[in-house]
Amino acid sequence: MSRYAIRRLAQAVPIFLGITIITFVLMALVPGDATQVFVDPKVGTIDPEFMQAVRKKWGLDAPLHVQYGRYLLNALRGDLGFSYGTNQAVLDAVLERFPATARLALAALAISAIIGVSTGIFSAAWRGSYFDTAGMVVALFGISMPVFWLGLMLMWFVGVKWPVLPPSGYGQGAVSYLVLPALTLGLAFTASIARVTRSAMLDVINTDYVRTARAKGAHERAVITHHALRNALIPVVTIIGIDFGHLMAGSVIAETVFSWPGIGRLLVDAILQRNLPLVQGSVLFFAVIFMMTNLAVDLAYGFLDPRIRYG
Amino acid sequence: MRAVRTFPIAPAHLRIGAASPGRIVRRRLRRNSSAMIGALIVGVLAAVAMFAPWVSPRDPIQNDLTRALLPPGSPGLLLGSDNLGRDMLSRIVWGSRISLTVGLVVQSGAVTLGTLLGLLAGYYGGRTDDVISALTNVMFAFPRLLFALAVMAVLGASLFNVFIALGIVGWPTVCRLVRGETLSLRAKDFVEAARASGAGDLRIMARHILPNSLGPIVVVATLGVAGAILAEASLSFLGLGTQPPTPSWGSMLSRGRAYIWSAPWLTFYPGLAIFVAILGLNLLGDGLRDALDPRLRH
Amino acid sequence: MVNRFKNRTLLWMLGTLVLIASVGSIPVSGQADAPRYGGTLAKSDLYGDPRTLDPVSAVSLGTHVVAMHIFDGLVKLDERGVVVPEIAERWTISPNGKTYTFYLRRGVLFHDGTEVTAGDFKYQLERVGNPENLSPNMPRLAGVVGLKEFQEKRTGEIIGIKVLDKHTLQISLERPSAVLLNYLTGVWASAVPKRAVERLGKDFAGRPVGSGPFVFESWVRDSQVTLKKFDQYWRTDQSGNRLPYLDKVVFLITREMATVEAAFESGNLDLTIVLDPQYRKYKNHLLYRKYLIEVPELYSRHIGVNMEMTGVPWQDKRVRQALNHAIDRQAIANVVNHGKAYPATGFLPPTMPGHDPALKGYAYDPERAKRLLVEAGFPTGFTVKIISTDSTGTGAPVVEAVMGYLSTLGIRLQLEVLEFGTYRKRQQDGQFEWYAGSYGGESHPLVYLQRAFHSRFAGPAGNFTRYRNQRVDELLDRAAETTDTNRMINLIRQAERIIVDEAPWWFSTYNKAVVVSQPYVRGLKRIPQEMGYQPLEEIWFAWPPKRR
Repeated sequence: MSRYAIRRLAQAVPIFLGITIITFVLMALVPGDATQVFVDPKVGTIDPEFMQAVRKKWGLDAPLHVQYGRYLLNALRGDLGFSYGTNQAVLDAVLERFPATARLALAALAISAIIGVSTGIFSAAWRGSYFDTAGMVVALFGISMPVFWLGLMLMWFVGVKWPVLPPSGYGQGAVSYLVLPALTLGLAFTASIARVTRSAMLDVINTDYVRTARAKGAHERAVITHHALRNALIPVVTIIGIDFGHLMAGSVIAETVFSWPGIGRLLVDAILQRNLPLVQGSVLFFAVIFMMTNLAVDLAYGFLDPRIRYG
Repeated sequence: MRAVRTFPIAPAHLRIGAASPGRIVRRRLRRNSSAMIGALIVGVLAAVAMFAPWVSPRDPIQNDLTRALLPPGSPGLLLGSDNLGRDMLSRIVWGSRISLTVGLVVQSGAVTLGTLLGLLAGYYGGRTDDVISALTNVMFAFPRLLFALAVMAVLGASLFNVFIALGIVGWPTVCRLVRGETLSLRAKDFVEAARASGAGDLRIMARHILPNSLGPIVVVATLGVAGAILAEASLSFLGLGTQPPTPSWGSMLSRGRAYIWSAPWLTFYPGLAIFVAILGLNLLGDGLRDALDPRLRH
Repeated sequence: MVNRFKNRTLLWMLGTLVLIASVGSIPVSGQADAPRYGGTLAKSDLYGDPRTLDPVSAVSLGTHVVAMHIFDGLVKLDERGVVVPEIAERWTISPNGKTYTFYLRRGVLFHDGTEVTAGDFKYQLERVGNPENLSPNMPRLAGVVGLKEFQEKRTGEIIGIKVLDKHTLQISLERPSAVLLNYLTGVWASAVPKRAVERLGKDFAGRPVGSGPFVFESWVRDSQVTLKKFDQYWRTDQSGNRLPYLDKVVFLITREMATVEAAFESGNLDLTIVLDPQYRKYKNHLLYRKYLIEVPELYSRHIGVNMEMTGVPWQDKRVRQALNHAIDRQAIANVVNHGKAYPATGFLPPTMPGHDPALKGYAYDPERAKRLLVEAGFPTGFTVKIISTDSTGTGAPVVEAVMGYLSTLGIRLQLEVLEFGTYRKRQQDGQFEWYAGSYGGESHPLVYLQRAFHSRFAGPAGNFTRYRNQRVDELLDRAAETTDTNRMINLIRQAERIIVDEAPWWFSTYNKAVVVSQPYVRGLKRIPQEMGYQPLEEIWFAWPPKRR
């Protein structure tokens, strides 16, 4: 199993390289200077000599491949550069914002896993009942609802009209601030998981494997939990792996709507400000998270389905 | 994109039974009521988009500064007016054109490119597969919305560039799917038979592999249209999508955000429209997927 | 029996008196109460994360609104735009106008307990002048004796900045300047403790130490900044009470007005700027309309034309004047800005010192506009491309509204909406025909005029239209070198008249800066330079806020 993990990590290296190159080229093509960070949209002007001095200091006048090479060499030493305009180390800036996004994503995942899986199981168990139909309809709504719309409506109704929860912000990390963004983000996921769990459970419940277990006299609940559930979790884990991209994209929107200080928002701002080192650092970070999630998902497969083994 | 189970439908000369696969699919589809609802929604959407000039009560880009921000139900303004006095209903009707166009164009591009690359990768294997797979993996490792955002920043925010940005971001999903299909189909008997009878690579790909992958491709494409509509709205929300005065639902949402508490109808209706469109497409896509699944028992 | 009756009446009278007294003491905005100590103010400005709190790099509004409370300078601006003493209690200017001597207060302390001396100002000014620090404020030191030699490393210090003794600082200039004092009010020229900078290095930008009314406590990037009261702040109010009154200040960082509105109306925010879309709502709000403060801000919105393009219709002055006559500014202010703007008369906003009330500007006169266009030879109009951002107050919505007016003259606008970074780049490079935007950020009328219309600033430095007029340059240059305020104002008014007549801009509106606060907030001022620059050390709560 560990050899597999190591092989996967080795395969990741060219992917990271590819990512940095693409990011670099993309940012180089974006019109507008990196010196934008010094221009405030309301105040607005900047002296040309200053711009020249800045470009010189940041090495922006060197040809692209030289800039890229320098970046790569530094990155290998663990130095991801300094964010333009704030002079904060990129690694620090990213790590500082990561916990906020992590809390949001994990909370959303937790909510969606718990609600989604249980809804899926019960829908499958009571197939055809009102619960089933209602559940699946709500699930479908959930997948189709745009995150920003849901977020704004939740913010208005739950945060302002009937002030039950704080409408936005991070609030020094208090849990009450986490609820609305996590719900918004989690809803689409909940829906996905519920649907997939349900169909996976339906499949598994009817297989010979489970019928045999039942025929052997195993208790209905034992049948469901031990045999069916374990195999049904495989597609759920798949969803988490595949839809993770959606989760990340959704977190960008949720972070924007609720003013949540996470990495998604950091990256959007960095792109709009042409803050190249920060963009590179954040993208790399996202890629690392993505890879690790994929690896975790694959390893989870191995755990859940004894038939799959990695050599 | 969600996981799609893929099952090949046997080619005509190997089929037992009377009905052709197309007819089976359509029959199943018709029996599935939620899929029919989805089809209805999509149908209405398409009709509204096509006949927008006749359906829309007023000109969507005509300012009327004296009638700005009127709430829904004001005379002649069923859904209210926006901050420059434009009729929301007309804008939403015309917006359906933009959104559907975005969805269709982006998906056509993504599907074409993705299918092509997927076929090549799956069929030829080896180096070709390595390169294409590596590229696909790199694309997957990028947070897709943000990649599209960066591309929009490079190209400049406009409807046409949205096509390009979302197309670039959309092809890997299709590619991966088609590659998987091609790999599993390549080893089948009928392909061997075709090759033995002297058919060239291109012919095999076009006449044997591709038609059998069509099912899953259609499902992914349908769901992808929904995804593209949502992505365009998200890009506009973040500031780099279509720009005014183009009445796309996404740019309406983005412009109306500042008025969310004082004139909520500016964001509510475009959001609702997006929701309904995506809902319809999801229903239809799900129905298609179920209809194409030979294992489904009634 | 009679006694009991009398007692009851007395009781009733007393009760009524108490009732009247308590009703009378319900605070109404504007009433002069005695300030109370205590409370945490939650404020939001919509300018986004400060990004840095080091005065050397201070350029954005987000930085300024926070840093101005952590740091104090030699002088500052009061709400009329006049330079008044801060740490320097008085100053003298030599007869030739080239030497300024500042006499500092004694006993002013930094947050780390050490005393502020003239040397601390010299230290900071040299930091700004040092090219290694890449300070965007470096150009403000232009003209100080010895600056060039310092920057070229021929000397280890700026000779023109002299520490005469612990509490006396002298600055020598190569020629007299009308704007030095104004420049020195900026956050970049604050007193900065050398020990702290050397100890913290790069971290100083994230953990600043100054001598201002509030001490830095914490900063969760992109979320909030918290400052707490400096117990040993030197300033007192008119009654001798030590400032600040508040215990803490929390800056909520966001760019989303929806978020701010929600926070404000749920009672979690005490003070915020109001944007155009929300203005009507608060103006008509049953509770909050009494707690709005409005002032014409120092921001001129406009459409600028590219004066460097040849062979285009707007090279003819009459076309530009027609543009100014053709559009109804008041209607735009009412509808597009929802009433939150003042129609422009000349160029300088009404709250700018030196504003000329006699300058009437262009009236809305579509007939005249048509005549001018015909005279210039464009009876059927022309087509022109215009760029803008998506901003509700100055961008696309304004252009869309203007399109209507201009189309009646046959002028067809083709709008290209750009994201801010790209838009700014196009302006800087001169890659546009017309642009719609706003201009501001300077509190001195001379600098305000120079940056926009002096040929020296033509190009990326601020004069995007690349307007060049020798007479205007002459007038502004002469104004720059006089220390006689009246003479300076006279000269700039002459320049303004020429500029308005030549109309390189469509002079649109001035922003109406509006701030709304909760009923218990006192001490707010009308600050035309930027309403976000409320001096928080003078703010207090009439009663404690109820947070949810």
